[in-house]
Amino acid sequence: MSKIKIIEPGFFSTIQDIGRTGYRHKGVPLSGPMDKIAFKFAHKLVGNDYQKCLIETTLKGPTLIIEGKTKLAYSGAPMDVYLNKDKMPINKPFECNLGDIVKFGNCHSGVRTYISFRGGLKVSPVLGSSSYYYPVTKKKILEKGDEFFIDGKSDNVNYDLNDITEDYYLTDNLNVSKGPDWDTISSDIKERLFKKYFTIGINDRMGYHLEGDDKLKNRIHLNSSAIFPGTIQLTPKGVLLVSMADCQVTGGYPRVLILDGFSMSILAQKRKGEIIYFEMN
Amino acid sequence: MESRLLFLPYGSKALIIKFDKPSISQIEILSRLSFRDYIANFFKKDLEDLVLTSDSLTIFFKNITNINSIKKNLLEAYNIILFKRNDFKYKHWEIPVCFENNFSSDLLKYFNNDESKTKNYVKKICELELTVQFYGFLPGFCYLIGLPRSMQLKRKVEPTLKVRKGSLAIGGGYAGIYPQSSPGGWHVIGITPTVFFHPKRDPNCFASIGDKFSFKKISIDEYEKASKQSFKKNLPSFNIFNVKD
Repeated sequence: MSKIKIIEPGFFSTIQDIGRTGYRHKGVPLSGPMDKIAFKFAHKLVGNDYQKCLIETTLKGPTLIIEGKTKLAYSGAPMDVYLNKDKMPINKPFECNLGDIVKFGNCHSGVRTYISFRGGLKVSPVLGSSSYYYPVTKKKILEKGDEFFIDGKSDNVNYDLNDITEDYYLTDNLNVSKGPDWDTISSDIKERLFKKYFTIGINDRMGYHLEGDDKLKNRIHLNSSAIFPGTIQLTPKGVLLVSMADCQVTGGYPRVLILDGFSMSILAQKRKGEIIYFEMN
Repeated sequence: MESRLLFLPYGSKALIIKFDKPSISQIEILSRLSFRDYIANFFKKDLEDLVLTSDSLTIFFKNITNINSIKKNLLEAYNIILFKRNDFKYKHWEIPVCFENNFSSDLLKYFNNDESKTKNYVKKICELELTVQFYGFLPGFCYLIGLPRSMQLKRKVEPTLKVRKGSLAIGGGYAGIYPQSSPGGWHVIGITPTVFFHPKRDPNCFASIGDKFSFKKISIDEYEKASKQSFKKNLPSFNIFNVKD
């Protein structure tokens, strides 16, 4: 059976499958890919179904050595990728042989790149998913020396590859709909959310902070309630918290907006300091 | 008793059922839990998950669901559950907690280094019975209610970057135990060797919503010895009780 070995892990690389459903009531987040569009592109390119495991990278990708034979593709944020000495293009699957070294570099734009192998990586599931989420999974990120077998037996799925693009995330507009607590905020705040641009602050797989201003300050008090990825909460200080893949299952601030799935992928490719606008669906 | 429910759609695949106030008694929590179980049984495989909190129950459907057609049915079911005489069972867990040394340093700080106030607080908390209201925040983190007003501690202004795994902490009207190390804004008053969440244990979380907890004081030696045991052995002792309304 073919396998890959991690020579260098990159900046923050994780294993992701479609996510961990059915355990929110115990406080366990969903996890799964931050950018579902690129996750699907990468799997499609090598004919995998979406249940399979792949590598999600952040800003800088890993260096791998291939032991055996495999086909792989990468999608999402573009970066310089070398198969031995040859530069390999994004969104084009390529074959690797025993001893080949694949080196993923730094992102030119965007944040997250998805590397999928034909058949998918074999990673033991915990609570129904192999997506890394520490300490539900023992591992938090890829580390030097990690090895993964590739599932050589899985069926090839035929996809239409015409919808695969490189520039899907190059927009500053995020589509939102009203969140369940929309009616708790004042009409001034409602208007302000769509008149203003927001600067991206600190962010990780749990969520993105969007820097607000004094006019978004509020004194709404709610009890903690369930939240799901894509939900945007407004804090008393006027900061918007966008919940992402690893977000907590409950939150205590008003859930004012909900990002659509496509916009979550766009946001997952934004860096600190970039700006975004909201548009109501 | 309450009977009003507010239905709030949440995206296209979730519905929030909002109760008119947070649950404040064990019987209220257990009634809402049997409402949750009714819903689980009613929708069966169409459900992805159900999340109960202090004043809400969120239904996550696997697919887009027409919410208007199910509201009437849910209201009827809720009223039946509320006005039926219920006979609930629950578990009472005795959680070992070490209050020694720096494990209760937040408490000492809160009382401006007044040792007698700190000791008195620890003594009082070991006499209490607290009830699991809901799970949230972290895997296996349960929100415990039942603190008298005099024992409620206002949350920290700035959260601590690393609260240790097993820390028993107080935040406002809630007590809770950190099942893993995490940043946190609650005041740590002690530490338990009990494992509150383990992905490889069945059940992952031993306590159910509506169960009761009391705390048993242990020494630092007992804490360290118990911490070295495997997570499976490290379950607290419990008794089963009935509650009648």
